[in-house]
Amino acid sequence: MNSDTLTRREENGTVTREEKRFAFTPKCDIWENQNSVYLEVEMPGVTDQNVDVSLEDGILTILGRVEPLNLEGYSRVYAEYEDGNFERSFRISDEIDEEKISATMKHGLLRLELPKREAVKPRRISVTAA
Amino acid sequence: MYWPTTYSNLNGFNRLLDEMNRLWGNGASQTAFPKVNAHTNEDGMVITMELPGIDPDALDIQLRENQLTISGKIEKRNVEEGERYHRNERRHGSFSRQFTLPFRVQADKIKANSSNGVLALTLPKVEEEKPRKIAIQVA
Repeated sequence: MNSDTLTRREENGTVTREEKRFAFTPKCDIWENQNSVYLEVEMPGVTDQNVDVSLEDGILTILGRVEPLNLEGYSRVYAEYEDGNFERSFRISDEIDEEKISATMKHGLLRLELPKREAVKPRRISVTAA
Repeated sequence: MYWPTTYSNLNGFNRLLDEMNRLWGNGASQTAFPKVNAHTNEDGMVITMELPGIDPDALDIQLRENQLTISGKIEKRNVEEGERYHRNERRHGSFSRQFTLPFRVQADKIKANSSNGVLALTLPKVEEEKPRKIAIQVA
């Protein structure tokens, strides 16, 4: 959890700042195979429209804005979780091909694929008998 | 040094502690899985549950009298050959959470809604349990 100011990158390249508020650190799985690195980030309550993935100077930043359910007229009587935005940053190694990063969102789970550059993929060198 | 410890101060502190427990989790809510909130009004209750990545069709929701059970399974992905895990923070496995509702529910009017990994269950009270306004007759 951190209290950094949330920033959101707009399509025209300007950055608008949102109000300063808590952002939760979302739970995340990271794994890799020889072709790609994968991330799965839990962001319950975030739609695909409200998730923002940006990459700057090798730092991948994920922002998710929660749209809380409309529970007007109800009062909360029991709580195990809080509604709040999600934010998390990762340093990406230069073996990742930044142009090819792709993201999908389903049931509040963000899945990122970060393909590795061709040059760093392991290559099998066949040995021929001389 | 004199520290006034009045009840009102203590209440303020307890409230702060409550808030902190909510934010960072106390014993119960830390182990609770998946996490749940409950909201009430005169007509009933809304229970919400965080289920990121779960297909709502795979959930099993049952009501027996006033016992509500929500169960399901968060599948762990199979680690394939040549894969290496760096972070493993997501929780996996079967879960079953049971709640005793403080009222009788109109079972046929329960609504279950799932959007973006949040399940919302609307549980209306049976009519007899809703508050009733009692008119005073002037003699």
